Amino acid sequence: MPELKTKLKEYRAKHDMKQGELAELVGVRRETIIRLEKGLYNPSLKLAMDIAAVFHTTVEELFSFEE
Amino acid sequence: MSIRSLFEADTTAKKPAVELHSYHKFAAAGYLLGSFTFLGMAMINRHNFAVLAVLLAAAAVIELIMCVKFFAMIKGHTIQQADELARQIMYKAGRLTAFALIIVGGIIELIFAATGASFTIDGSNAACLLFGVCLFTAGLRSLFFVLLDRTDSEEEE
Repeated sequence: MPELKTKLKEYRAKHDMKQGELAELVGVRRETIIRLEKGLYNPSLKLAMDIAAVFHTTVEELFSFEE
Repeated sequence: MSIRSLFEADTTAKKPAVELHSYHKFAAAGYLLGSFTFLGMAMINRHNFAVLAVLLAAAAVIELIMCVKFFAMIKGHTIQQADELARQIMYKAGRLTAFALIIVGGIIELIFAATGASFTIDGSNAACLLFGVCLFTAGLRSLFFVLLDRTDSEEEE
């Protein structure tokens, strides 16, 4: 099964943003952001797009799947 | 200020939210303790009255304290909305609860069969039993939610 890879942590660090702040911006809980960063949760398209919009980037740049 | 602006004013001023995880921790403890109390009430009879009455009174005191703490915690707060992950976890918790109830039922059945014990459900205890089982189910669901929703405590904030 392909593994979810994400650059979320890098982008968050680049924007000097805390997990809680990002969570509030996209309307989810901090636990969700933690799991996303660890690649343990496959987000909905809406959440992925919301996060990409926060960092002014694309979903493909933030998330990818690796075999 | 016009009348129109009064109606358009933001009446949903943001209250601080209690985290869903913390809420379910309290809920699990409260529901499970409540369920044991009601199941105890369903089992009380002439022979075990003294022992069960003491245990139930102790449980009632603990529940009262928890209730006061819980309402103090949520006073002036909202409970955090479930997001998509929380909903998925709750769905899993529901399935695990159903599985756990089947296992618990099976174990009780085996114990009764092995020991020859019996339990009469009649008009005097049916309501307590039903309410106890409902609370037990809700408690298990919250408990599984808390277990499944765990994240490492040392995560960066």
